[in-house]
Amino acid sequence: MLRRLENMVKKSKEILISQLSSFGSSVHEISRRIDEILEFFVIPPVERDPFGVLRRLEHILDTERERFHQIIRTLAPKVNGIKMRNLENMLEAAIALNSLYRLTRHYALLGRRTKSVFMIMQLEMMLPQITRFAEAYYNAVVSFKDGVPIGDGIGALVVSKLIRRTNAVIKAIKNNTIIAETKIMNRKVLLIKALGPGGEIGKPGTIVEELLSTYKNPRISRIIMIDAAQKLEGEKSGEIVEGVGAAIGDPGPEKMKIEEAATRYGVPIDAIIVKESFEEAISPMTREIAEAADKVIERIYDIISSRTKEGDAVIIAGIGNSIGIAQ
Amino acid sequence: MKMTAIVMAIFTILTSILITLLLLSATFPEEVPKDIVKLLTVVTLVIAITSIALQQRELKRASKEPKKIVIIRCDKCSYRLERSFKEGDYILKTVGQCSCGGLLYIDSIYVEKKVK
Repeated sequence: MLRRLENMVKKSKEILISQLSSFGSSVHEISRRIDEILEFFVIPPVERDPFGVLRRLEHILDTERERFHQIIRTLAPKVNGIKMRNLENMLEAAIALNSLYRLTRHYALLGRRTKSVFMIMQLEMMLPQITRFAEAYYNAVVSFKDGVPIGDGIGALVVSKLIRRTNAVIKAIKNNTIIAETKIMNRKVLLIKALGPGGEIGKPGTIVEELLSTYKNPRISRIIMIDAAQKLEGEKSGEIVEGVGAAIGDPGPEKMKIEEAATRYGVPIDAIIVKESFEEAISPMTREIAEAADKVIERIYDIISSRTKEGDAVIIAGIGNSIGIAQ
Repeated sequence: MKMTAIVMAIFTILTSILITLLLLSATFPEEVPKDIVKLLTVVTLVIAITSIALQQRELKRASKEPKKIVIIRCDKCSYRLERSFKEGDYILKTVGQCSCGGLLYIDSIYVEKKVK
């Protein structure tokens, strides 16, 4: 099993090197630095004093993004915007796969060294789960290489389809997030998604917060959020479920901003989720999930017609990675 | 790719036989009993072929990627086309003009194989 994991890491490294080398740097130079880069880490903020923890976390995540940007710029100087984001995503998946391998190897060797049967048994029992995660990360590396939409991009796909169908006008691009405006059933609708078709998640929270505070005429009366959500075993992939609350799976900062702003302005949030497994979320989008997009649009129309009035303004935020999905 | 696999397979078999013969000559410096030579050659061949077959199966399994499908639609009529994914494809990319005069764009990209 450890060898299989090692092979996956090796293959993902090879893919990464071949992709990076096609944008300027020599294979030798990239190979020299790649091992060090694959051990890149992020230290989460102190949580014992929770005051301002999300602000600190956001700062750390911004710095991480900036660092990835720099790394790719150094290793692939001739890369363009879309491919750059895909390479950043590839690097993230390769780092996750490498960490999983190192952790598994650590416990396997520690169990062997200390002759601890319990440690080895625990690892043995965890192996099916570890393999699933490892295969998912490996598939992610491959899909980011090709620029294929992934399961997590369902929210972005829904908004992208709405932009096309309603001939929405793109009003602004901020923080790698696009804001488009359109009219649906005589309601002003503001559509939000991450900038595509590169692998980007944007900052939907920041945009929603800004729109709620600046949009006065008419005021925003409802927020509809669409995202992929983890299904439980036995549930069907691509199933659509409705609820309330901020449907966004970020580490916290963006979700917090949406909740804060919606509470401050008293705007209800509707959540539409599309169920999928963790592997599906980071692997190329399956047919079941892609076909759910049209059903989600029907639900959105239902919500708009039944829960808002003519002349209202509504925000529709499609959350998720926009790889392979333009606007 | 196929040629490389065949060359590798022949190389593995020949190397296995050579190693066996070298070991035999080291074990029996005078004269090697013929029965033992035959038996060990057969065993070596079986082991080499089995290991090659297992390796090939593993390689085949690893290289089996799900088929990526692209759905192209016209923005004016009901035209719909299904084709394989090409590098550089993305959703909402304009890929040409329809016979009705409308624009052809990529509506969906997905894989057929279901993730386990």
